[in-house]
Amino acid sequence: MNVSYKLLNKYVELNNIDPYELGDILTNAGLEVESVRPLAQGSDLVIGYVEESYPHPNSDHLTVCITNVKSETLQICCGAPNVGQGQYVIVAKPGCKLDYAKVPVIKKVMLGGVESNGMICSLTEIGIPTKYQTKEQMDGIEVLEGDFQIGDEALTTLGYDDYILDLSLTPNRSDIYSIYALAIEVAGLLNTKLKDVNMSVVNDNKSKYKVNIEHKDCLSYGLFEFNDLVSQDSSFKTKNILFALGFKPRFNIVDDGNLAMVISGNPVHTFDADKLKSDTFSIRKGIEKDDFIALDDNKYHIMKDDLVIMNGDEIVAIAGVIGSKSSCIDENTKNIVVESAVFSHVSIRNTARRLDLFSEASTRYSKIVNKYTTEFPIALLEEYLGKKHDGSIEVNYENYQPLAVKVSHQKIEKVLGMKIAFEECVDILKRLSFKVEVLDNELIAYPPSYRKDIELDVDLIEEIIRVHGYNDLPSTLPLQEIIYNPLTDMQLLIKNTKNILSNSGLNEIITYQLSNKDKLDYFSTNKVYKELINPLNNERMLYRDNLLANMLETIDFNKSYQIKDQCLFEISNVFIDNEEKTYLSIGLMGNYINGNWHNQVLTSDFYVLKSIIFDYLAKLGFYYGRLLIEEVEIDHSFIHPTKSAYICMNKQRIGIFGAIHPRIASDYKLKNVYVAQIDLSYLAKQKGRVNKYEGISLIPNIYRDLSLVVPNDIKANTILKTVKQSNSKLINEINIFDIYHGNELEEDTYSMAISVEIGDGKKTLNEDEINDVVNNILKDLNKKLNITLRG
Amino acid sequence: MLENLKQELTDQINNANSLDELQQVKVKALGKKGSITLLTKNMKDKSIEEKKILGQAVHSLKEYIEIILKQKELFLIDMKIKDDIKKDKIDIFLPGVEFHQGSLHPLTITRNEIEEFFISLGFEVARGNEIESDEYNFEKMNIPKDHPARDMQDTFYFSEEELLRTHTSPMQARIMERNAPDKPIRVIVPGKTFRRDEDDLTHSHQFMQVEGLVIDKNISLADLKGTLELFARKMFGPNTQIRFRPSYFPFTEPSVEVDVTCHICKGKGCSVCKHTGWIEILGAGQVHPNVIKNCGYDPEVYQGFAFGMGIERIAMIKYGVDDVRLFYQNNLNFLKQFDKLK
Repeated sequence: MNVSYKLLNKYVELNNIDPYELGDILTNAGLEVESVRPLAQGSDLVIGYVEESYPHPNSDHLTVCITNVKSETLQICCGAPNVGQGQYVIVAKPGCKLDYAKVPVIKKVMLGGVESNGMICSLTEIGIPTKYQTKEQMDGIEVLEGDFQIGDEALTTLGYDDYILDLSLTPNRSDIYSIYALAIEVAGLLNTKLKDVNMSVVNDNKSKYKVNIEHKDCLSYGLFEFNDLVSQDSSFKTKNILFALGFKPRFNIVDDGNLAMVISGNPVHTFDADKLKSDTFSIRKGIEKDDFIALDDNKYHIMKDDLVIMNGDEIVAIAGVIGSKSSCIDENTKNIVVESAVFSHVSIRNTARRLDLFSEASTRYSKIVNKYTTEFPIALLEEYLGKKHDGSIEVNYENYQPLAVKVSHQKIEKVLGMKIAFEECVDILKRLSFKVEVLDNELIAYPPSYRKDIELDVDLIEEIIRVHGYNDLPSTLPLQEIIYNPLTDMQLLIKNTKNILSNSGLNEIITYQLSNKDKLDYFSTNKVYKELINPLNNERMLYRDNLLANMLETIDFNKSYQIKDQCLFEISNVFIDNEEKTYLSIGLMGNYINGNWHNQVLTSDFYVLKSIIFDYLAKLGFYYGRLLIEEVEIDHSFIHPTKSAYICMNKQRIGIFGAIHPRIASDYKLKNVYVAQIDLSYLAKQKGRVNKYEGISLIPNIYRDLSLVVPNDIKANTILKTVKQSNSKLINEINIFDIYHGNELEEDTYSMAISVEIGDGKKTLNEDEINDVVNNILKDLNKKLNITLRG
Repeated sequence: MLENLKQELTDQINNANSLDELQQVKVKALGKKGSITLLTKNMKDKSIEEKKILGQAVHSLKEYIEIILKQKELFLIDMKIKDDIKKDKIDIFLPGVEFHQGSLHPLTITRNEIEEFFISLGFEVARGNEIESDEYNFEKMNIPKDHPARDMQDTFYFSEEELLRTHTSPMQARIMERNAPDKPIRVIVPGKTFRRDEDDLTHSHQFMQVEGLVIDKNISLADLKGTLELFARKMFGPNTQIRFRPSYFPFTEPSVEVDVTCHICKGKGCSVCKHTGWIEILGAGQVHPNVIKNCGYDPEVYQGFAFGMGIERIAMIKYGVDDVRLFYQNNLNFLKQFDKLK
């Protein structure tokens, strides 16, 4: 919201506090001033008079102007189409600085062989944005209307010596959408006086109009008639205040209405009395009309929930939002009826939002308007229009009953945690125009009618500390009984998972929870998603049920940056089976360890991923045995059916890992991507093995290597199990150190070399005992699995 | 004669240049047919008296030779080790094994640092769901329907009643309800939050917050300041100052924005702090009595503070990241810059 420093000064004593300092004071008091800037800029601008003008001899668009600036007469070449003899203009003499002009410092120059000593300025060149200007002003220089003293300093004379404070307001302080409410605030902060202002009008309730309020969302409705007006341009001073406030000047009736609204905070709407067909106004809901033509020439659809103003049986306004074209004022208007009303801010906001029509008025009406000052804008209008109203009717509700809010000195100090004198508390509230009664150590405050945000004792405490300032608030630490709440199992699992995987060479990623159907469908098991009713765009409309879609997207994204080797993981929530669960995903592509002069490359594949997962699970205390893997269905939708496995625990599938399905790989043009997804919510509920000392054997173990010929359909886990079970007491470890498929082997067989660790732990085994163990292994393998020793 | 032998053997030992040569000398002197061994053997023909004298002489010769043999042997072993070391020299400038360097996401690192600080002050850490109800996200937080503050937080809805949490505050209500009506509370809630904002340099529709809540009978605004002052020093260095500015949040009263001195210019003013010397890091305040009441405590007896900070914002300040979207693009060239523990 833009505030004119000069207009503010009209309502409160500013004690020569400059606009920049005022900005800091307001910001520090919680009314954030985003910027302070002069309304217009330019050094040494003077008022000049064009005594003579003639076309430039060598240019078809320049005019040579002989311009009197009192101290001298300057020959200036001007390019504006509207410049001419007998005009008062704003002149920048040589040496003048203009931040907004194309040439920031004005110099004496030769233009087409003619000397030019300065510049005649347009509004744009002195810093007034084009959006506030008429087309003529935008295209040409500013021609001053009226009589002026030649040579006077221009910015002051014309009222451009103002500053704009741009306030960013929090929702609780919508009162500040009124300059007068801001003046109350400033008076409190600076401890200065408000200037006298007439806020009421003589309301005799004599009017030819009748008002019927037919819906409770209209809280108050007044109509004020002004007759025999003359439409004309507003004065310079009024226009400049409007510039500072961010309004485009139009003509006096509109401009004065805007000023009345900005100062009082109450919007007014003005009808052309001669365009009204009836004397009866009614304010109601329940009307539907799809072709309401508004004063902005647009067609709007009015719905049953919109509050409308009816004149007879014609809709003349969507309440608080916009008036009709047919009843609006124009440059020929003579008699007006001004509406000053209070509507339910909820109703207005809903309508304004639906129609996307947030004007200065509807924005104010969408906040809570001060319902006790509906006469204030009319009083202001009388001042600006220079005449009293001719008739009025107001249908009103209860009189203003100020709210009483109590707070004790003790409560103030307890909430703040600091000592503050009770007298100061009382004084601060009084400075902010609160009426205060003091009873011992308690005060009762009656906030000004503008301050609808003050309801509780803590609201008063905030006012006190805000004005007192936070600088001497002490720093203490909360004194409390010690409460011990360790991390939960889930929190620990997440923390450990992140540490283990990042130490295994994986990079953590964090991706968006919202995605789209096409991407999620690839990796979804049941394709049922949580869907937003108001997504920002089609890319992000579903809360994901898997992490793999984003994992693949991230791998693809990094590949586009020529990053071939990727080892990624993510922990995040998903919504699946009707609840929010926490999943872990892993994605591998390229090399896990790069080869160089020293070692061979280790390319990520099923077995690298398997190690990462099972080493990770082992560190959590979950070992193979409790964990099992299972082959996936041959028609699995997203994982390569023969290069993948389910991870199972307690007969439940808690995860899946393997190569992505060749169909998806081909869609994404990615090769050799391996992924995993594990349900951490399930894992968090399981207890893993913990560290426990089991004794160490001092007897050395014996190793025996066996080279076996294995039928193709026998899988490694069966062989390992059979070997182990042949003498589970003496066999400690089995290592598969070679797998070989070759033509010289018997048909449908492959060769597997294993190394078996044999040991008793208590005594050294002799040769016969060891041979017994080996013979047993071979016997069992042969009998149960038809496996033979390779010759 | 013994003297000659002594001299001869000493010379041979001195001249031996390798352990092999020394071994040969040793055999020649002390082996079964060695010169000293033979001397002993030849003594059996001599008289007892002669045996005694000669025996002593041979014994001391043998002792002497053994000592200098040992000395020479130690010398030669040392020589050989030195020699081997020289031959075994590697090029230390060749690269080692290129293990893949893992890393935590910068937001995780920042979040861990924040969590560790508050855990050290005895705070509990709580997690909440990202899909929340309107009741907990708004109503219990003193933001009824049609409250103007709802405009501050544009919300993603799944239905009229179900939404993506716009802040971690709904957990305030859940934790208070769990502890009401009289248990003290000291908790932080880190987690993902969502606002219906277009993504740009400083906005992300998904972001992370850490909520803090302390409730007891005498928890004051000064306690908030002391807690956040320590926090700021932990995150941004021991000389960091903080400042409170009045602000507005529906769920706190009084409400403040908290600024820290710019760690780049140390408060002198630079482009990072827009020449103010201060950087805004979080919003906070005393929990609004309506919230306390909504969640089952008596606001006349219980009071406390709450704060909420954006982890992205803290990470951006700490690491000098200038575009919030980088955190969610997951470019490995970005992520790998955060492979340090801090």
